[in-house]
Amino acid sequence: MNRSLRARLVFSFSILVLMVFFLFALFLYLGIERIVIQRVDETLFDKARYLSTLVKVEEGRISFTLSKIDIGEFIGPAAKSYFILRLDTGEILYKSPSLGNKEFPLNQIPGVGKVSYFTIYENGSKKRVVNYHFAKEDELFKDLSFFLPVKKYGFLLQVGRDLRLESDIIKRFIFYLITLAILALLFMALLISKMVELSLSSIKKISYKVKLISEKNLSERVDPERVDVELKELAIAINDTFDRLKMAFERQKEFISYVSHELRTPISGIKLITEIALRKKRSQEDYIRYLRDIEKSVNHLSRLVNSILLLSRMDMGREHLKMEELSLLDIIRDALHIISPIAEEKNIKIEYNIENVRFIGDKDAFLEIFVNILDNAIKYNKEKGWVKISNKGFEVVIEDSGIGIPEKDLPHVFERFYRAEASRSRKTGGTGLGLSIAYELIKRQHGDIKIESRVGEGTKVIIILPQ
Amino acid sequence: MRILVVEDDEILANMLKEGLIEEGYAVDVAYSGDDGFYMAESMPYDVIILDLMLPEMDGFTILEKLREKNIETPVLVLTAKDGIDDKVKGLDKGADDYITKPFEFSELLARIRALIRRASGNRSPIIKVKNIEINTASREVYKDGKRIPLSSKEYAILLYLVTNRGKVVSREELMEHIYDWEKSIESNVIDVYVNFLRKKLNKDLIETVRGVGYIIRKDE
Ligand SMILES: Nc1ncnc2c1ncn2[C@@H]1O[C@H](COP(=O)(O)OP(=O)(O)O)[C@@H](O)[C@H]1O
Ligand SMILES: [Mg+2]
Repeated sequence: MNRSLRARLVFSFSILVLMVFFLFALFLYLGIERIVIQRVDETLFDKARYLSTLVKVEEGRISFTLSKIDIGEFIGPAAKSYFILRLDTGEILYKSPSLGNKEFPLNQIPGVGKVSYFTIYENGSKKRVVNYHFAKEDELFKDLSFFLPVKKYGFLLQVGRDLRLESDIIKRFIFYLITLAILALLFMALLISKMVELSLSSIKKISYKVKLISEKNLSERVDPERVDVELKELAIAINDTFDRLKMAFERQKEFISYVSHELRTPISGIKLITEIALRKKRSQEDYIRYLRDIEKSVNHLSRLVNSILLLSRMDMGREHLKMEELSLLDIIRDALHIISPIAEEKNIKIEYNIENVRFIGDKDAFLEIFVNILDNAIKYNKEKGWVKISNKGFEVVIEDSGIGIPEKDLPHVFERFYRAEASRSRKTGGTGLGLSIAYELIKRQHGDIKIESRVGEGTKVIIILPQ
Repeated sequence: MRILVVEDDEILANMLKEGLIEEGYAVDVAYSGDDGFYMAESMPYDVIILDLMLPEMDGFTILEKLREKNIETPVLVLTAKDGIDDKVKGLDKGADDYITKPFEFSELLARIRALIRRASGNRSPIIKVKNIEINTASREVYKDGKRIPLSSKEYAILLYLVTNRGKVVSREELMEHIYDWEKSIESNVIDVYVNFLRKKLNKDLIETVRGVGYIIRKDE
């Protein structure tokens, strides 16, 4: 689905504008219609009053005479006004010829001197009609009223008018209103579209910058001061993300360049030895010496490859830890079993004093952790030195009487490939990965590892088991 | 010709030394950057083979500091990285050549010879003086077109004098370039070798400059 922010905004704004406009138009239309009807009613009432003056009663005879002007208005098919003169009993006395054979319905008659209005709809046209109820006294008896009771006659005048003209005006008005609405809508849509574009321009700027950021150019950044305030947070978030990415990327690059160096060097050694060995015929002792060196290099290489593979499996999250209940004592015994031949060779005594605890962890991982640390404690020890393993509950301490680690190296020993100078130049066969593997394995299982050391005195590694 | 190998991998460094000695070079090894820099600035090496990733002082720093001190010994960088970044950076910092690990020993030798030739201003691997012809690539010496076998020390002395021909070379200088640190030799050993060379080749080839040393003159 192709979601366009602009399209959605334009659409919803248009609907809103349309609704507002519609309501407004409705009120306007109703208001205007009322005013128009009022005006019509007024003229109808005026006419009715005027016509009522034409009604005369003399000696019981009712007469009704239209003037010439009135005839033009009420007579003939083109006339727009109609009237019916009735007695208030309903009997029709006179009907304007313009009505033909039609007549107005007789609904409730208002009180004398009062008016009422109604509208009739017939085949598409509207008519407004006024009911005017009035009374006339006999002219003759008027003068004799002193003697005789005056005879009163009640009349009902129904004056009507076609509303064609008015509805034409209203129709035209509605037409204008709709045209105006469409124009306004188009204008609004255009305006909104422009506005959206304007507000998106900052985002475009950001995305342009983001596009510039690539594998080769990870240091490109969005300048948060140069985008709109509202987008500053986005810019900062993007920059932060790329900072973190860049760091991870650079760490990986550094790791690979170290790996490349650490792998190529022993391979160069092996290649050089074989090439030189084969250059000419040599003594048996020489061949044995060469093979020993090759063996050493190959052993180193295979240790290195194993460690690197383990680390990259962990980096990719492919190292699955199998959590189970472990016994500290069992792990330490297994580790000692692996490590004791090396210790014996260097004449190093290993003592342990463990009050067993059980904890949850991966067995192989913990074996690796303890072997790596014990390996260091032996490798970086003095001839006839000692290693002590003890614990207080979940805190396990491995202490040695070795060469110690200089203060400046101490913060770095958990870094990949980091080796203190003394251990580097001495050929200890280390890879610089043992502690970083231990560190990552233990952190992954929510334990902890710390190291304390003093040059010439020894080193203390503290492992906090996961609980 | 004397070579300094700065490489922290002991097996590689020691094997390089062994191979280069067999080729008639005098070789010293430094296993750390600090040692390497100290040795490079205190002895007149003809070539330095320099690893980049070193403990203490890395290869780039050594290069930079040497060039700062105007020590112009040709440097052959050993890199372990694929990227050309390091090569470019190395050459920028004053390296004369580079070779990527793992390398062919024969290629390394060819590059060392080329560096020595370039330093002495010779283009071709064949040097002719009087009726003597020296092929520095095959390390063979001919007199009037006939091959004369030389011991490696004899060859080393001849090569040093020939690459510096026209210049008086003292016995001490010869010793510094022919022997490494492990061997301490009395200076009359040089005289003995020079005499062998005169007998085997041409008695006018190497002249003695009394109280100073030896010289092979350039052909007119
Ligand atoms: N018990 C110790 N005594 C002295 N130095 C140690 C000890 N443990 C670790 N180190 C230092 O920390 C560095 C990193 O250790 P590690 O990651 O195990 O690598 P290595 O392969 O060199 O043993 C070592 O090279 C060494 O300098
Ligand atoms: Mg270790």
